[in-house]
Amino acid sequence: MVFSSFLFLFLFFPLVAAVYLVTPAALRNLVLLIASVLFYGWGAPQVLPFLLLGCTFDYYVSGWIVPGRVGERARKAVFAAAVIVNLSALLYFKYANFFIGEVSRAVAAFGGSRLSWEAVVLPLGISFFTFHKISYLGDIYRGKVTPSRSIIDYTLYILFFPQLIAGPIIRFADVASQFDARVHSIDDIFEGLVRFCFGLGKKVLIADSLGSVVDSHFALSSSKLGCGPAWIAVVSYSFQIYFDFSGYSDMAIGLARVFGFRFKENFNRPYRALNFTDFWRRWHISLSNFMREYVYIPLGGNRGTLLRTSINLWVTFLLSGLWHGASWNFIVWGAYHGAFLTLDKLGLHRLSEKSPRWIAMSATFILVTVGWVFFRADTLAHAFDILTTMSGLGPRSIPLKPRAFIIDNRGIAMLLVAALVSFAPWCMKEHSDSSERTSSTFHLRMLRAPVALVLFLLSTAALASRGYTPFLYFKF
Amino acid sequence: MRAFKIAFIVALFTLLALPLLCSFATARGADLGGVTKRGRSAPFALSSFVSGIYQQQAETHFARSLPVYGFLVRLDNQLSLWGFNVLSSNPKSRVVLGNGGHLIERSYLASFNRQSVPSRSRLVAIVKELKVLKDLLAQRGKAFVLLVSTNKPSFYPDVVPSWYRVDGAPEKQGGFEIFSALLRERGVDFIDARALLKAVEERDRVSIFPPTGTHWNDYAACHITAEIASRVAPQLVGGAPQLQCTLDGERLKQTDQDVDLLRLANVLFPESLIRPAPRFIAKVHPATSGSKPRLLMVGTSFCWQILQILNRRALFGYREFLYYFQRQVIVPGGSQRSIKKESFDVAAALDRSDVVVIEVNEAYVHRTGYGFIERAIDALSKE
Repeated sequence: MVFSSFLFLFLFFPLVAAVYLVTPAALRNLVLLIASVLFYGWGAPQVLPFLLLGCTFDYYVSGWIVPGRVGERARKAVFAAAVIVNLSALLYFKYANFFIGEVSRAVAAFGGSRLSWEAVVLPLGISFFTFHKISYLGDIYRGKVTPSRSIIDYTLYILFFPQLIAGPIIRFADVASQFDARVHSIDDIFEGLVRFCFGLGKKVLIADSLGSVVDSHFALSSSKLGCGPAWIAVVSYSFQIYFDFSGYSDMAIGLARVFGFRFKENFNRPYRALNFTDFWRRWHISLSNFMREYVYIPLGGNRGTLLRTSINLWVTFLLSGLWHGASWNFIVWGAYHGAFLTLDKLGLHRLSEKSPRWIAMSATFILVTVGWVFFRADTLAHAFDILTTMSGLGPRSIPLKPRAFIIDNRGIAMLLVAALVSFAPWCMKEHSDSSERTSSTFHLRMLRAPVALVLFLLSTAALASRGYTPFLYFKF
Repeated sequence: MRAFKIAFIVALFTLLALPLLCSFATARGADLGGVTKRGRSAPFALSSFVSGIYQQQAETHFARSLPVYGFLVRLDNQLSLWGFNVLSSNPKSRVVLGNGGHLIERSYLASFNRQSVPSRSRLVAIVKELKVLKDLLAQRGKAFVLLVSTNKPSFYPDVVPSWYRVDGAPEKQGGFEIFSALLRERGVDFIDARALLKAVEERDRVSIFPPTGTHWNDYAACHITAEIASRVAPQLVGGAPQLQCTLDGERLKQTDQDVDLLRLANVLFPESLIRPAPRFIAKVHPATSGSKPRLLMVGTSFCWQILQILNRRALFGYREFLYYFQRQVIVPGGSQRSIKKESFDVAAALDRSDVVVIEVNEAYVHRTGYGFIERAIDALSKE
């Protein structure tokens, strides 16, 4: 079940909201937990028992790693064991297939026979909830927060349906107090629902429309693609991934707010970044914060020499790439970003800050877009094919499909809307700080509500239409 | 301000509750046109739940069951039409909007753009089989007619907008050009519906395809039927009735097939796309012998209108239609049933007919007969 499904929109969410509203405050966390269990169990029933077991394990282990509770050596050992258990699960479910596949290929290259291995099924959201668990254990170990008072609250923190499958990555320290007591106000419900509708519109109207453009282009071989269409495809993908991911984050943040939770922002108009360092302050903020706190800083951060800092950055971003997916594509993508961040440390960011804003923004956008090729392509070879085509050095293309089958009027329009929303300074601020609210913005803020309703209607209409592909006659 | 926010919250939750509210009312355009595999609520089974299949089916069933579902589909399609001049945001939509308000079935564009030209060797094999079948039927005093029907993009190339064309492709040789040349070469007579109807169009200054349909209109079907009858008569000892089709103004009333693509397009305001169709008078000239041959027709959906004309005018006695050689329709009686190609009694079907008509669309000449020809040759050779 995803947020943009009819089952969620017209049954799950209104039902949960209604039950939540009438439930006494003391039982509301339990209601949300039951709803979250149902939500995850619907999508991944075979993984749910494992996840609940894992939560139980973390909850009871967390009591052993509080500073001062037990001896330091024992505390360290228990913490290390708990992290290893959680990471092992992630490594096994997410990377075993990749690792075995690479070993098998290497063995076959030396004349051996390929290893027989039954592929492991990837549990939904494992990358996100593993990081949540590590964040919880890490913050308790470092004394930043005390363990959750109730197993219900802790399990809800891990399984909370708005952020379970695709984030944002929420640190326990940031939300711990909200499990005990949170405010429910008309303001929060209003802002949450508006945010949800905007997120839904970003995902369904823009991201999904561009998705079909991207899919139809990437399905062509490079001999049929051509330089211009390749750029259209990759730029479309840049916008697709942004609006899809940020749309989902908006929906998650909006839903959480309806239930009284305040999550931190996850995106801040990343394509207005002036350099890669700026980009990573705006893109998937919760991930970059997590990687900085739990990987980069423990490695030494920027406290050592320039070389050491660069190595720390590379390692952090290689791991970040690997976190996104188990393939060489993601590793290369991570290394690509690591390289530019290192260049920023060497002074490249000063160049971008001295350049006219539009040049710095454009250059950063183009470079980030080139990086997305690795994210979207099926294999490294496919990625390099696309890049070669984009450079104009590829084989001369022979178009075999009509233009409308690759990008139609709606796709063109959504591409333009996406560009406008991404780059225009006055468009779609990701978050509205209460300090920014003035009387002059009052009418603009109020306009958001009817726009949200319209976006909701258009989004559900588009969802219905895309799910309905009738034939003229029965097919036998 | 607070009241405004409460109003918004109530409005949104009302939208979320709409499906339940609409259970008590009928929204415009609730029923959708076209045929799908209905999302059925599959019975719950642990294995299908663990694998996720049950959830997929349940979600589809839930969505399709919502009273507002049809309205939402039509709303999106209508907004796509108004805002972007395309018929749907669904990239898999089977209908596209052409020039002059013409709806085009997407599947014909592949043939139009020469994206799926069948191999010459395949077509040679088909033509050889047709020749054999024709000769076998003639030996038994039965008539044979091959009808190659046309389609809208082929007949009206100008209705295909530039963004649905591959540059230079339509000018290349396609399957029909190869097929028709082979038929002439091997002496297999056939009705070239495109050429025939072009002459009708030029003479009568009349539309052949409705803007909202994928098939030719009734007037065109009448001329095709007349041509079939004229090709049959010399082949039968007793001759056959003839049909004369005369234009008689226009009609606003649309037949089902005039609007089949419009139904599939599922827009909220379809009336804006409908145009008047030619009205005609069909006159039957009985055979001098008074005979009404029995007809066996194998073909595609283009045959439905021919069958309707035959049914109204009683040109032939017994009519049997094998739709894609997968469904059998018998008139008089009107019975319909599914058939299996491998086990259908072709010999008996041939026995109860005096005329065999095989129809295929020029976009799919490589599928001529849909398996019937081989079975028929086999059956006739065994006699």
